[in-house]
Amino acid sequence: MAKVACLAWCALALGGALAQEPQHADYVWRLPRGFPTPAVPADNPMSEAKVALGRRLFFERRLSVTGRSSCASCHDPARSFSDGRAVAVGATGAALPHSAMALVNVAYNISFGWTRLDVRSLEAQMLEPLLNDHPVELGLAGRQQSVCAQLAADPTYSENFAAAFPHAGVAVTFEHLVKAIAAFERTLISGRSAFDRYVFDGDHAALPEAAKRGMAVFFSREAGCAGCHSGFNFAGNWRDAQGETGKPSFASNGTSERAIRVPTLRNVALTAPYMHDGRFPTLEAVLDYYSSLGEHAQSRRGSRYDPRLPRAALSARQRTDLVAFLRSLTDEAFVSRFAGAGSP
Amino acid sequence: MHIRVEVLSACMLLSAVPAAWANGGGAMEMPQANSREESPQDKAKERYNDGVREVRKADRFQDSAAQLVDPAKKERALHEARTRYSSSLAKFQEAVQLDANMHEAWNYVGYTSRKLGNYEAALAAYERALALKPGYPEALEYRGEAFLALNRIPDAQQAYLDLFATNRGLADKLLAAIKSWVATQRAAASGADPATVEELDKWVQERAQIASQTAALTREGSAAGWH
Ligand code: HEC
Ligand code: HEC
Repeated sequence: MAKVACLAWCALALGGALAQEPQHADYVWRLPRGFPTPAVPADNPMSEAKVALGRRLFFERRLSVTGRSSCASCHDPARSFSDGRAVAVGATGAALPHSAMALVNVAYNISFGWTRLDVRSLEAQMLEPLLNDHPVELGLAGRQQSVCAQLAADPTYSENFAAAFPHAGVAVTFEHLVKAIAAFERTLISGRSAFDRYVFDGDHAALPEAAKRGMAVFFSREAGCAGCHSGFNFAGNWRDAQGETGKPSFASNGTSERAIRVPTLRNVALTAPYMHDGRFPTLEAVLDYYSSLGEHAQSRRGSRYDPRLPRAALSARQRTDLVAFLRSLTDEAFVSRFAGAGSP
Repeated sequence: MHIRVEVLSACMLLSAVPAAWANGGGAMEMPQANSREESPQDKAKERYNDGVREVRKADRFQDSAAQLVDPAKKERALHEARTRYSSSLAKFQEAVQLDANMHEAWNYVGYTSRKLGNYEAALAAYERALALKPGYPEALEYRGEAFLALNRIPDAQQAYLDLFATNRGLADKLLAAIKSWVATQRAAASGADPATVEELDKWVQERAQIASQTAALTREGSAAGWH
């Protein structure tokens, strides 16, 4: 009770102060309703020019050892920046251990990757796809200089870099390349789904009845989904301009011995197959799986079983309704924003 | 004398219910006494602080009036409240005359005007506050209540949605006000169109459900946790 009163107080006391937080420098975020202002590293402030450069680089095939792959090869905008494969395949054909994650609202991540706790920024994360060689993703290790020389020789790129890093002696550097792509990734903000129109715009016809029923199941304790997939991004704790809401959210839903980071469910209808290893081809299969966890909830008690997981089997109706709800989390405008991007 | 005592006990009761108080903001820090001559801004702050003290007293009288049963005592408390709302309104008006950019004072011009039943003046003052500080949650909430008092329902609903995205606490407060508007209209012999009232009631219920389901979406909700 004391806690509730305090919460009400804090909401009142802080509410005003939060909204008056100035925007980062002169960059204007166009945020969906209900979304906080993202945190931006002090040494990589946002600017329109940097984002535009990063966007171009994200689709740039010269950023790979073969000249045929780019970030977008594994992070396809049409699939909410995932790739449709169970596990990703690098530029030289080697399979990666995990599936390519969707890049949705990554500006709010506390950590990066399915299993890594130590990767804490987009800038740090990017060194993996760019430089990893066991297995190769883009395979640029040792080639940073020559790639930069190539880009510097391209008049548009050299202009774009100069506009993005106006105060630097040498504009086209590997560090700037990484910073520009990270700035672009911070703009991959998605929050205009039917769910958002229902909840934030007050369009009560935006969700079909089945999705509304599914929403009630999703947020119920019995199903437990929102215990892990919490927050505006359905991905547990987050980081924004005010700081982090807690530790990165890792949990086991039984797909692995180790804890896996709770993924966002925004645009999830576009990102099949599912889980870190792509084991489930459809959302229906995911729900069947959660239902079977619920069915065996009793016998699992006391074991590694996370108490937030479903406490009983989900009926066929509940599963269909949950799928309808998950489909309502698709933001069509986000996908179409990048339609045709990257094609030469 | 009698009122004093009852007011005090009402105050003690009320201190557990912060949402019942004026939420326009607290007193402002004043410059050190030894600093140079007072600027109009400093004077505006002084008037504002006087107004805030006065408005708190007014709120207390009004809240205690709501709890009093004896009609005579109730009327006396209401009278006290009105007197203090008027005198605080005068202070806030002086403040905005001295410093027209003081959005907090405009917000209280709105609040006190509304408490005195002058809704159009209240709306105009909230507009000033919001123009100076777009999205100012307290002004959005007060303005929503003024819309309600003027039966401007779609505007009140929009105010609720604007608040819902930024300040769930104040959004809840406005939703409660909309709910009691529905109750009042139902009870009144010549209230608003019954179909409109029932439709709004359905809307309130759906919004309340959405708000409770999605509490974990916000920073405060996620910190509260639910397991
Ligand atoms: C060969 C396929 C491939 C390429 C190319 C690739 N990625 Fe990835 N990406 C992955 C995979 C797989 C993961 C998940 C890694 C893991 O945790 O095992 C991932 C994860 C990420 C994440 C973490 C997302 C999160 O929510 O934690 C980011 C950010 C990211 N990639 C950005 C990039 C960028 C930027 C590029 C280009 C410089 C790029 N990726 C190129 C396959 C790829
Ligand atoms: C104990 C925490 C927890 C609970 C409770 C939980 N999940 Fe998950 N969920 C996870 C984790 C962790 C993953 C990723 C596991 C992996 O990749 O192997 C995941 C993955 C998913 C995915 C696949 C996402 C993707 O991009 O591959 C969906 C869909 C999903 N959960 C939906 C739900 C629904 C619906 C519920 C409620 C019935 C639910 N989850 C309950 C933790 C949880």
